[in-house]
Amino acid sequence: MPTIVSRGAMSARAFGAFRTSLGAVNFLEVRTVSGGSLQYNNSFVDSAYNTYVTGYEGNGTFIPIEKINSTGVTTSFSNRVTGGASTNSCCQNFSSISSCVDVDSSGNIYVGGTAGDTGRGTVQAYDSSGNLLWQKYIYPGSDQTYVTCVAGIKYNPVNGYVYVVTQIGTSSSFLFAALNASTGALVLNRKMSGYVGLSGADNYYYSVSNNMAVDSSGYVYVCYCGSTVYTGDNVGYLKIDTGFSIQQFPVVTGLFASSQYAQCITLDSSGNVYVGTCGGSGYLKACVIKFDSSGTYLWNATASLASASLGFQAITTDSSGNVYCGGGGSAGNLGANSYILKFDSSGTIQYQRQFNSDTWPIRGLNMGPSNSMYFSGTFASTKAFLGNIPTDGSKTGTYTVGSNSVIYSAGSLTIGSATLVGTTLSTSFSGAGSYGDASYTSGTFTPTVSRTAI
Amino acid sequence: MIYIKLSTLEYPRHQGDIRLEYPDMGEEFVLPNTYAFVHVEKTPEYDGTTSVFEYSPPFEQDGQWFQRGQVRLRTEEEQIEFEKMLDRMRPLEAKGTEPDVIG
Repeated sequence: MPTIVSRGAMSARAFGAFRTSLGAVNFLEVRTVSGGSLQYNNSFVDSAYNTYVTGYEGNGTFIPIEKINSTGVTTSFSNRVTGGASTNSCCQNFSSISSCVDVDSSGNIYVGGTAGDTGRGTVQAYDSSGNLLWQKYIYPGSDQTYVTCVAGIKYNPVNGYVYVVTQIGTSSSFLFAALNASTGALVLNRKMSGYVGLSGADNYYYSVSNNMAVDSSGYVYVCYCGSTVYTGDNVGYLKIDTGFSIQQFPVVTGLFASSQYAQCITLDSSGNVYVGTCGGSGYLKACVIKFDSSGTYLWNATASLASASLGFQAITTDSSGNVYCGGGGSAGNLGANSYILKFDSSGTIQYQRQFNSDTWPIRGLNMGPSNSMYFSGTFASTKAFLGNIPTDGSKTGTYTVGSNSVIYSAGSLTIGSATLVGTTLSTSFSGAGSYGDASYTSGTFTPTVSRTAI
Repeated sequence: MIYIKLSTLEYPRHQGDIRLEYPDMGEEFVLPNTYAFVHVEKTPEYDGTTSVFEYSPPFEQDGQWFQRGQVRLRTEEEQIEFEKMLDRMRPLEAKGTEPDVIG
């Protein structure tokens, strides 16, 4: 029975959510908004299995922030406008987009994205009821010539800081900053050479959201690729302690002969680190790289098509050390299906699954109850897509979700591995660019329109 | 490890797919005789800017299964599409120099 969610307030547009049960906890859901697109760029699942999603809505004016409980009941915090439609030439066709979401143990919600009119990075905090706590711009300088997008956000329970990363426009550097979770005040920021979570997809500025992880000791892990992105790059991660010192900087070199993008990162319960990427000469291959807790390279696995580029943009692990990689078309090949692949702890492929050819990459992947996992993405270019599916790859088939036919089936990607030129493991950022203070003045902004949450 | 289901020629199949069909297999993976391992030719070095590497369907030879591939030049139409993709990956132009202040 579909669940219909309607939201009104200052918008006459109609919203719909159509859920199809696959049995037990599993379901598929397609969400729509009349007169525009609804796309999910990132999701977070809390310990009670509430799913928090964020992304892009309508004509780029609104950012959707939704909390969906395990039975499909939605609370919408989608009541913010971060600047309206793009009017700044530097933003090109950029719109207000929310890229990333994280939630602390009190249910406070932290969202990062881009303001459409200025191209400035934005960070917002809401309480568990959806009340705005604070919101900040993060952007490079008063002479705003670069689009920035807060592409990754993570709450660190050890020190109570919210960490954000954002690519700095066309420059080969990115910002890593920590904000006080209660006030949004800046604690520290670092500007680093290189690229973080770069998509190699929609356009150069759009970074992929799952680019940070936090472990139980408060170490923050940021996936990384080097500054020569078109010429056969280093890819790996930075492990940063609560004092903001780099503890590990392992990279693999020459994974592919040319383009290389690091896109997502996660940990398992043993402290192993997994980095999802896309890269290669010609059409890009999706790749997952495993490092142990000391930063030593262990293995990589690739997935590719002969006629389209792929990338892994979401990644998670289960308690048995299996790793699940979500992704799809990259480098403009957005219609190249969306995929979820499972590898065991040794890197052996267990299965590959795909959704319809008009789905966009899976951009959210989180473990769920009873051997299930949640995913989120975009269906038919304009509809938000999420679901809960078994981790064993079962329940493939064709499902009717509202007026949509969702096909969940075995994939036919070519699975392999890339031969590395070498690996390096460092405890500093030397040789790969700068890691230093960047001056910063925090700013605030006021949404021009506020809609009432349902 | 890539397998083919012999009765239907469904391909590619992986350990997890086979375990769904044989849920009592146990922790150690044992390939049932209804499936066969497929030897897949490794992708060679080639110029990805002008060529693609395409696999043939898997085939049986002397009781073993193989999948081979070949490098071919892109067609003119394919090359146009490929260059469009490269264009989408290119950095957008931005005016000015990189500011040194995060504000």
